[in-house]
Amino acid sequence: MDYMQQDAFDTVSAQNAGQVAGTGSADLENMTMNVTGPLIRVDDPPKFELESYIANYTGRTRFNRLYLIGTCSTHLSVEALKAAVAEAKSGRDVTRYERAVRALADVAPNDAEANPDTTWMDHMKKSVKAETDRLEHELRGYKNNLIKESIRMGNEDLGQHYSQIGDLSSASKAFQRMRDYCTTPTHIASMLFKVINVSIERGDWLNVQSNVIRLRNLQSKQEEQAKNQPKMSAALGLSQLHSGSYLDAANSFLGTDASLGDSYNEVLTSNDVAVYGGLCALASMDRNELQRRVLDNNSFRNFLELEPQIRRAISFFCNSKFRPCLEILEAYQADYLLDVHLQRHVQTLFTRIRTKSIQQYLLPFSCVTLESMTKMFSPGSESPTDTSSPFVQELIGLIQDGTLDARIDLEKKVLVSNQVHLRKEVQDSVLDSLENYAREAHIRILRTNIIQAGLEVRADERKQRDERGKGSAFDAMR
Amino acid sequence: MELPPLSLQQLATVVTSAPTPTELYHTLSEYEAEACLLSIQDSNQAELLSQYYATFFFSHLLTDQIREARISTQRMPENLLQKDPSLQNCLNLLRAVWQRNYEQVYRVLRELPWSDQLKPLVQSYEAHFQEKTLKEISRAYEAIRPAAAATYLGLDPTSAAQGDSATVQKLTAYGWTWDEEAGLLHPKPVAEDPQKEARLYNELSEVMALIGNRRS
Amino acid sequence: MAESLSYLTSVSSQLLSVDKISDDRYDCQIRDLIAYIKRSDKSLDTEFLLNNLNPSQHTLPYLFMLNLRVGSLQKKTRNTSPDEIKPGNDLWVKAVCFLRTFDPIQVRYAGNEWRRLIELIGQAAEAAAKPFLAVQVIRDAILRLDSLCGILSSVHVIFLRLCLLSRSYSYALPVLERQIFHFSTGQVQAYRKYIDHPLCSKNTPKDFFLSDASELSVKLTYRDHVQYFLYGGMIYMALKEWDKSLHWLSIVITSPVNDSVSKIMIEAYKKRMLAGLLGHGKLAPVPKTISSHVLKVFQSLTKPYMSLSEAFERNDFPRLRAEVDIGRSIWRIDNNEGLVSQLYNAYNSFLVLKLGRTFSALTTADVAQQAFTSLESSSKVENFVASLVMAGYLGATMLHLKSPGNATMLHFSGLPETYITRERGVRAWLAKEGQALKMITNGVDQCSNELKLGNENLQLVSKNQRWPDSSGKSGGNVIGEADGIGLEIDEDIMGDNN
Repeated sequence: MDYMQQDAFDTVSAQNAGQVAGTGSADLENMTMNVTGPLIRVDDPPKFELESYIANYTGRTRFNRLYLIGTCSTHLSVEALKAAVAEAKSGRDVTRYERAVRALADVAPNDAEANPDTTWMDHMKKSVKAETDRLEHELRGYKNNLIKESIRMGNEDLGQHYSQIGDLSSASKAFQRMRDYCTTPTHIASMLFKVINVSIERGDWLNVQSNVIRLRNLQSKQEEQAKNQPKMSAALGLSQLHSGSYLDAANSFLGTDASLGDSYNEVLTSNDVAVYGGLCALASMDRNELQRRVLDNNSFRNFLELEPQIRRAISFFCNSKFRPCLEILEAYQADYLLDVHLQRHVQTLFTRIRTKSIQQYLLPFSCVTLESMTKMFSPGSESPTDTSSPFVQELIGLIQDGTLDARIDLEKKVLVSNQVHLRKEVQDSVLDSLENYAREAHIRILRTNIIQAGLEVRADERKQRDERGKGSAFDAMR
Repeated sequence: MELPPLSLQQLATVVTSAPTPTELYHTLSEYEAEACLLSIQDSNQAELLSQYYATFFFSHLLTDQIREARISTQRMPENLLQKDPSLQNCLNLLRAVWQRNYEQVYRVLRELPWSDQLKPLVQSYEAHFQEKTLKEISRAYEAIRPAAAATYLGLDPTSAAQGDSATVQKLTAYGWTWDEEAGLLHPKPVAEDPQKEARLYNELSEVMALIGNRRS
Repeated sequence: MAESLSYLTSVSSQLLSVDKISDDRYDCQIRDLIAYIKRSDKSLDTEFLLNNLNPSQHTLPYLFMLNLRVGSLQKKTRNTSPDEIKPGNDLWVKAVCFLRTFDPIQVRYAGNEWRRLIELIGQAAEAAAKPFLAVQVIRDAILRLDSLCGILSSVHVIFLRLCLLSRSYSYALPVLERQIFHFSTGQVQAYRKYIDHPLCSKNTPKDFFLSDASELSVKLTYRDHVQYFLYGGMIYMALKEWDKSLHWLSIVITSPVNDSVSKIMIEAYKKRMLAGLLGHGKLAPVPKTISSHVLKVFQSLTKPYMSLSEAFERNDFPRLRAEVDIGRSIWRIDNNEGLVSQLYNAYNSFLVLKLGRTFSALTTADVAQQAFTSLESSSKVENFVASLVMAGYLGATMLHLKSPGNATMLHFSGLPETYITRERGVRAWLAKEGQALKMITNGVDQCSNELKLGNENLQLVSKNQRWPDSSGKSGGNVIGEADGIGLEIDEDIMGDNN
């Protein structure tokens, strides 16, 4: 009990969390937002224009994106939250309307829209309730009549409805109930996509993955498969991105067919595929792979054309021009931080890309001056060769965690890569394994012989144990 | 092999007749049990004991067994160790050597009152210590200030710091080079026998080749 | 008296020419001799005989006489260690002389007496508060009896204890270096009884005459062997041979347990943690042979040591200091205070050593800044680093820089030593490891034989069981399948190669 009270004492975070907790519909997405803890603040203005950005999307993701931008960006907060309020009001989800209004009230308390429209809310609640009742009632009717197709559609309607009002777990259940009443592969595919989309919104990435696999194993017509492939790959890529397996995510996005177009705008756009795929690839592949699998990839080129800066960053990286590559990424950092899927991974991805750049930069040299490295990776920092400079500290960290196989020479102010002494290494490993073998064999022989001699440690003899003057013997260790 | 009984005279003979410090150490360690039987109550025996333990202690130092020397002082009779001036000197020396406090080592060796019987051992240890330190410096330093070198070797650091030519000459005599401009000495590493090394290298290479075959 | 003297001397003189007489006759004669002594023990004048017998030639009678004499004195004075046996006195001198010169083959027939004599010497030396006196004697006696002793006996345990008590650690090394493989016991070797070698024969398996049958050792308990290896580990720790001590302590903690863990094992586990920190700057990995529930017991009982090592490993000096202070009473109770106090110095050394993996050159001022808290003065750090380099502990060289400023540059070379010295070291290592491997292989072979896992045995077993060949009915299928899989793998490998 004490423990709980302490939590409540922490009012600031409690408020943040309280906003989201909302109604009983404890959907997973909200929970993951809780886990991220304090919201990320983005003070730099993003490069995109909000109106045209959000116009690319359809469905519930529009609100989620607007809300995230509104709560994170200082520049766009009012604009985005106002749009979010409008978006919510055009739908039937009262909870998210309340959330948006509350968030707007925090940043612009005097705005007219910051006051909740209670009449609309009451009306909507009633209408939602009525609709739920109607659909449930209809479904029961279908079930009594045992008409498969009707039951399937009834469940679909109900799922659709739950999803519209934000009760995602009920929606997911309703969609999954469709399964038994699907008669054609097309039905199953459409059902699985519905489940996937809800799971994406809930942030249930495991479920996304397993349903994508189900979808892939589905026996359906060639053209059907071809039609579904891009969406499947994109959904899989998203789930892999979120579970932190960036290389897998990169592969999934790279394998997404260009026919995706704007067909999956309720989840992501082709632009997003380019950005997610490009960043994941940058963070997880070496220069050769990037060249071969990203830049020379004809199908992915279509995506990259939408986001030329990603293309440029990757080609800079491939040409070992790490500074411009990192500069591009830094310039677009605000955009990425305001992306609903990318936000939590930007930091990790950027660090990996940076570390990889440093590694790749060092690769051809046996020795690099700290000054030139600082120019490349940490321009504008003062006293670049001092041990206390952040860049040198970063290098020290990288060396100590084993990322860089090099050492710093503070006399000549250079980074020296470690030489490999093959002969020495072989010798060391031989001696090591010899020693280990001898030790382990000895221990095992002794164990065998102890057991054979019946000298195992046992409790009954313990009673007569005498210390045998051990105390005085132990003193000898000083 | 029966050893002649331990006596002051026998001790002196052992010290003078031992061809190497290692043998001196071995002969003396044979006597440790006999020394154990002596009593410090008897003043003659106490003198013999003090003499024996001090000699034994130096035989440790001369064979570079510093840790063993430290452990052996723990085996000496506590009362004797506390009040005997020779053994107290030994303890001071041990502390200085243990802590690598070079100034103190030379000070103890040169300035403390050592008994006449111990003096030859003290002197040979000073020479030994100097030589050992010299080897260590030439391995450890690429360049060293004369004052620091003088401290290590028990020479006068102040005169060395002023570039006293006598001190510098002493050091260049070891094959070191003197960089007048920088005011630094460059020690010369003690060379090893190259021919033997080549043979050794080939021998090992054969073994390595065998290992290589086995591994692949 | 002269009569018995002449009989004893004549028999044992014959025995001396071992080469000339056959093992069986030797065996016979010596048993007669023992019978004679036992028959007439009451009537013998032990003092006279002791003065006139030569311990190296007439080992057996001398040993019996010594024991008889001690026994009668003990009876007379009703004291387990009568004055005569006290260090320096007549019997002591005689016993010491005997233990230095006895004939190892004759002693095989009087194991019990030999052991009692050693126990007596040990007790007497300890009673006189001069345990050192017994150390050399017992060591020489052990080595003399069996120069390749791979069998643990109760005498070993007594010996190591005396070494620790007298702080004569290095004196134990000749015994410690002979690896133990076997444990003297009377029960299991029963199957050997049919191996018909007389005790004196060169072919007698060692652990036969070192078993209870010859009474060279009292019956061991589990406590004896864990104690022996703990003592050994402690001796190596005192000598700062950390790797060896880790191995010995590993033996203790991997001792097979029936139902519960011994306290000695827990002590070994604690010491092993400290040895790992002192020797390698980190905890040594736990041997694989240890079972998980035993490990859990260890871990639950060594928490203070665990947090101490965590502080050490994470380079958290303030926490290390705090942990050392908090646990002071624990270290004292466990008698580990000395070891714990060595941690500070080891900590500093490992810090500098670790720097060598990050930097190839830096000034001592940088060392102070990187590794040591501002508490340490830079000259102190400089002295510390210099002493590490001078001692050869750090593979680095120092370079005094041109004035102004008294800066010192520290160079960590890629290779710690010159090529040649390294190669020489490697060769020595290889030779040493080869030797060790030989010993181990012997041990393994012997062990396999005893477990009936020797090659011949296995062949015999497989012959007796008539294992089904591929034409067998039910078994045949299984083997056939397995073969098929084997082939597939082969093909795959070929494919890879192409």
